[in-house]
Amino acid sequence: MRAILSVLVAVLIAVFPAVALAQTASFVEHGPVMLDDSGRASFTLKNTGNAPLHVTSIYPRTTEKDPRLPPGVSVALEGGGVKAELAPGATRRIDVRWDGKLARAAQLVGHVVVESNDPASPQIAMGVRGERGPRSMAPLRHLLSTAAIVPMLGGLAIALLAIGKRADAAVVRWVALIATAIPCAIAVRVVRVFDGALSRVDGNDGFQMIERVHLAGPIEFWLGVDGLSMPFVVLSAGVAFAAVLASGRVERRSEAHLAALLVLSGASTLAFAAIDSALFFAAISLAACSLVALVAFAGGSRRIGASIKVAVPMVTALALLAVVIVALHHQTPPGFLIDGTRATSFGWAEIARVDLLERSLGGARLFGHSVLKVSLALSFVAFAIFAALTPFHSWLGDAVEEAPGAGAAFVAAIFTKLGIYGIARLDVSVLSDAFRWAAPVLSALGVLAIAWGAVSAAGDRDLGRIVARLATAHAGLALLGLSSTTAQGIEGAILVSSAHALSAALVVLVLAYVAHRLETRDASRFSGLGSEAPHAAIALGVGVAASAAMPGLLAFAGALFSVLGVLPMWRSSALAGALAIGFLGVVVARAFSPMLFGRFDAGWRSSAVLEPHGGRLPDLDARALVAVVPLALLLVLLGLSPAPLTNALDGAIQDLDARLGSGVR
Amino acid sequence: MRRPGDPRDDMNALTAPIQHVQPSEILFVIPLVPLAAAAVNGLFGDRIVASRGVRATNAIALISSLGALAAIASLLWTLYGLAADQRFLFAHLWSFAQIGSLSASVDLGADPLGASLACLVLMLAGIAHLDLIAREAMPSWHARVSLLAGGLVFAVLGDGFVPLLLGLAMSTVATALLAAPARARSILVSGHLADAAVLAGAVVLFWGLGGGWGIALGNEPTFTRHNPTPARGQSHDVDIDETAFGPSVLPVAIAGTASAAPVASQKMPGLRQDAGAKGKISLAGLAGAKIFLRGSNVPAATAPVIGIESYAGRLDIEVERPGVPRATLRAVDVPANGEIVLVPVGPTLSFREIYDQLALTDVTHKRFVRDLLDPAVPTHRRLFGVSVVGIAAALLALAAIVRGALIPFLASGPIELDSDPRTRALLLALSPIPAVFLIARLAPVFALAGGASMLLLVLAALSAVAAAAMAASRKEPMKVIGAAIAAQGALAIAGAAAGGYGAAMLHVVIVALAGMALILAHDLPGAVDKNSARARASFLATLALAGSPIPAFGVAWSREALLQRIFAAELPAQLGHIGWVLGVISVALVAHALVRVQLASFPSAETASSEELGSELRNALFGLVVVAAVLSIVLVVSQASIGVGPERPLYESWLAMDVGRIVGVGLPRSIDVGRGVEFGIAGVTVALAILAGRVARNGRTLGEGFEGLARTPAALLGGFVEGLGAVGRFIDFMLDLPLEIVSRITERRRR
Repeated sequence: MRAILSVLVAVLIAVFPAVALAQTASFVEHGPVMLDDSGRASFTLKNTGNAPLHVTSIYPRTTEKDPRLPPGVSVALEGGGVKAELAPGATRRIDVRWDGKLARAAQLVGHVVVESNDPASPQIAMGVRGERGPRSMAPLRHLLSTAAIVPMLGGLAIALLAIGKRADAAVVRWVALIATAIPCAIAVRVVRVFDGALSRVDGNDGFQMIERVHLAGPIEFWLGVDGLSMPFVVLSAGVAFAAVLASGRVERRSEAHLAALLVLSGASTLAFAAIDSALFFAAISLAACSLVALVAFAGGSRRIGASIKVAVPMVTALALLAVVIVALHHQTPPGFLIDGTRATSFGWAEIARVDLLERSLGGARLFGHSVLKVSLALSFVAFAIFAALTPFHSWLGDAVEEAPGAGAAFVAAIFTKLGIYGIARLDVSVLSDAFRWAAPVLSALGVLAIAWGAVSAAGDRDLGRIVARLATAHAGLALLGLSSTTAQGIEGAILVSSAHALSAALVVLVLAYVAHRLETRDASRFSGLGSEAPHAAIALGVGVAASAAMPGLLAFAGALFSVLGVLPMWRSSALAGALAIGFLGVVVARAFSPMLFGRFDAGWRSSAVLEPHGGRLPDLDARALVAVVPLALLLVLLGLSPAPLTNALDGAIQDLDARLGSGVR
Repeated sequence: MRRPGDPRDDMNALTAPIQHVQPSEILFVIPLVPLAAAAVNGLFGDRIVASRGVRATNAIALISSLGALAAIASLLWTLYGLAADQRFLFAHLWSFAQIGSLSASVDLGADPLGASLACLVLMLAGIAHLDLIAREAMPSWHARVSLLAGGLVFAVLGDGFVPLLLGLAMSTVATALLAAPARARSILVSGHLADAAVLAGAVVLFWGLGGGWGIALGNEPTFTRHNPTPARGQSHDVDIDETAFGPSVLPVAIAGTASAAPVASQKMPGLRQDAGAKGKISLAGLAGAKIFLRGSNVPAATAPVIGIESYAGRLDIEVERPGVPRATLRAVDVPANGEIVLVPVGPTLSFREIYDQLALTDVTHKRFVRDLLDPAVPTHRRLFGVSVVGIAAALLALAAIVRGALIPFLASGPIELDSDPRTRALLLALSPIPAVFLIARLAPVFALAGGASMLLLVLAALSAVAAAAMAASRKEPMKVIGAAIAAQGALAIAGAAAGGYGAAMLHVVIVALAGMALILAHDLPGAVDKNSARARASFLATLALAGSPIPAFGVAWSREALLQRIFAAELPAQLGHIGWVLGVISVALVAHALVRVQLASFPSAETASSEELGSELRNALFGLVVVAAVLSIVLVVSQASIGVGPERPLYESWLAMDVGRIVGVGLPRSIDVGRGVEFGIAGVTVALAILAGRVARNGRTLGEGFEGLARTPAALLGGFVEGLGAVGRFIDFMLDLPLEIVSRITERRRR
């Protein structure tokens, strides 16, 4: 009889699966839950199945070896304990508590995991967010997204005004100014609240000011800054503001120029702050498109040809990058998104947790070769194109030459840093093993870029192209520092990039200001600038000296640390790099000294070009001075004492050093 | 957990006769005041003139210069009152950067070398400001002079490569601004070359020291990768909580001083030299003992050096940093009535710390840091098969060659200056200072790498002859004086390369003052009245600059001492003798050229025939012969009369660089060539002076040839850069070609 009943039940289960007994763990609330001011939050676990649910464990998703969360997080079921049994339809509250005093991080962004006997989802997670102490005002919780989106909205507004033929020049300028001033103010706030000593061991994967929202599929709007990205986020906002401020009312095609510039700056900020690699890809793609648009719609007489010469390498770089990101995502095991959805995250930190070396040795392939090595090769080429590293540097000359002054300044100063940042973020931080493997070659490429930038600059008289070549040389110097895989070298690379962002913006803005009025970029026409336009000459002199890594300016510290870092690792590259830096300085001194110290061609004074300027080379007006003086001051002050900047990098560099020194953790 | 073989395990007993440091509260004022004056006059000078008149800017320039001069004079007095081995005043300005084990600070240190040179620079700057005021110059000229003075003072007082480079960079910019526009380019290029060479030399030296802390003292990059990298929150079996300091803990050596027996420390864990540490350091020793941690004597200071009296039988050091636990060093016994200095050991860019570390000995009494650099030790460190110290010294020598405008950079120096005379005087006078300073300051490095000193000596001696020949062949008085100063400067550099730092310093001082006076006197238009004060000053300056062998002029001492140093240099000895001959010839040529200029300045010269002029020259030279003979006797007497200690003149004692203390190998410290040889030297000098004078007068082609040669390197460099640029253009064009074709085709289709 019992046997017959058993068979009957089995048949019923097979025929009517809907009535099968099953336990399903789920949460009543949608994630993430927010901690209150006292650091507490609760959410409810529910058994939506029709069988008892055994909760075997509840814990914050963090371990000592892999500290995803800041210390001080505790989780317990209502009434205590981490084990329970829930009858079908029953609920149980889970309490989360974060003792912020034990943590260095000001934020908590992570998950609480519930393990149960649910066969479909033995692990489910609830996203948890919180701040140490009283919650800040809403705008202050969205600093990075505001800094990225406001310029884009400004650009969109200008584009709509232009399309609607309502683009009054004054309105456009004010919109641009406000849309860049807000991120600039945010950048100041970011610098103030950023904790440079915070590292991965402090939780949140070492990121700060995190914003994390699930967008669609596995993609999240996941922003945050660490030591690697913070300088670039700040510089992006600052340079955009300075560029718009200095551009004044003399730029050609103002609407198209400013709209593209604003989108470019917003997209660049977004790319620097993106923790999600898919979001990073989207942002960098948008930045590349706006760069092409900047050249195509606001460029000079050769704008169409130049825009094509810019577009082709950009498309190539983006295609390569897409392949790499998809391939790495494919290697990443499933995890949790911030709302608790189980999916494979695109987050940099999640990809970095994968032991790609082991997977490559285990047979993971991309195009028939080790996924690790191929990913490194493809992503390096992609980022080398963005950084205008030799031999992918030719697009930058066209872009800087054709783009109007403010746009050219941003492209030379910030857009190229997307490449350097990409190498640091993906190649050094994620593909560390492959990067170590390729480091000798990369250091040689760095030296080549320095030397080639200097050699190319020596042969040019067009100031725009000279600036572009110097950008290539500085990108090479940064690559040299990164390729050292030492703390000094990597920190030197960030300093070099930061210094170049400031100096390139300074030089291009000053030159654009004067060149626009002289209607020429021929270096020989600028001779005597020092005596004719002292303010312009001083600002230019600071920028030029920084380009030559002159002691006392920030680039010097970067060059010093880069070479110091690379010497113990790759001696030939270090020595060749030092020689190349020396040669670069010689070229810069030769190119710019006639402007700064040379005599003015008196015969030119009575020319029609100088007639509107009273027969003199035009000097910077108050507006341009307000824009360039902070850049020059930063170069000098940080050059005299780069400690504020190096302190901000401490935590990130410590993490990188540990990762590069002891393999993937 | 400390790893087996951790290099710090070997730090148990390090001792050294290290440099005493006295904190100074006014040292920072000395370079910063002229720099502040430069900023004010440069940025706001015109506005100040408009609102308050030119006197205000003049006052700013002059008062700043004289104020800084008064401050350095008081420091010199303080230094003079200290014992010879304690003459070092120190001020920590700010922390430059700290990355891993690299800790670079901007510190100032006034020892006799730096303070003397700073005094000279400020004195000359004061004279230049006075001259500018007399000529009613614009405030921007004052600003440039102040910037030059402030930069050079910063460089010579800087205790480390970072302040040295900062100061040199400022002086380069100021020199370019002061020089004629046509010369600015070559000044900037040569200045950058020199800076790059110093930078590269510093980097190599840093690595040579830092890399030396490897497990097997091999070539491993120990200062970053092989140091333990503990994660936070873990405990360690050492007394200090390393986790508080991250992966970059510097080892600390305990060094005793002359007044206390060196103490073998217990296991001393690391103490990070962190200027950002808010610290309290509490020390305890036997009653009367003193314990210093480099930096300052203020217990609660944030500077890395703190010294405190101790009262008990223990030494405990605690350091607190924001947000991290307190760290404690293990107790160490401190002897009663003794002094102990804790010296951070490891990679450094500080001169003083390099010196101290080179002098450190371990328990087996080996100078193990020095041995890393000493080519005579088989385990010394190499780079590309060449000793690290050799490469570093070669790079630093290159910097000295460029800064000192020696062959092949002769044309980049003052010899070719054609700027305004008032500024030319200053530039000429200051030109040899950076080179002589570099050689003297880095004497231990040059001592360990003899080849670089040899190169410097030869090039400097050749440059002296070339410049002197050019002086003899030139006609325009100002250019003659310029070349003469360049020749004397080169001679000083040669002397410094031979180890005669004191003599070189004195020679630089005398040449600078005399040269400046001579130029300023000759700058006035018209002939000189024989009876005017200006003529007398000019004549005295000529005698001084020409190396007149009259004891009243300091050059009598410095020139003889220089030549003797060069003669006695063992680089090898034959080279020293050759250098001596070249030096003597240059001195003779300079004497001839300057006497000619002096005579030509008087009214009689305008009407005198060339024969009469030649006759006067011969008479003058004959007079010099007589005086020289007298001097030779006086010189010998003076060695005893003003010498301090056995046969050491005052300036030798004051500016002596005790290289032997630091690196254990000596340059010749005192000359003992015998009285007979000294007489011989003096006699031969005079004979050569007569001979060289005749040669130069009759054959000016030699000098003219040097003129052409001097310009060749700059032309070659320019051609090289242009040529590379052309190649670069072509290859860029080829790289750009595919994209260019694509864009052209697209544009054509679009049309």
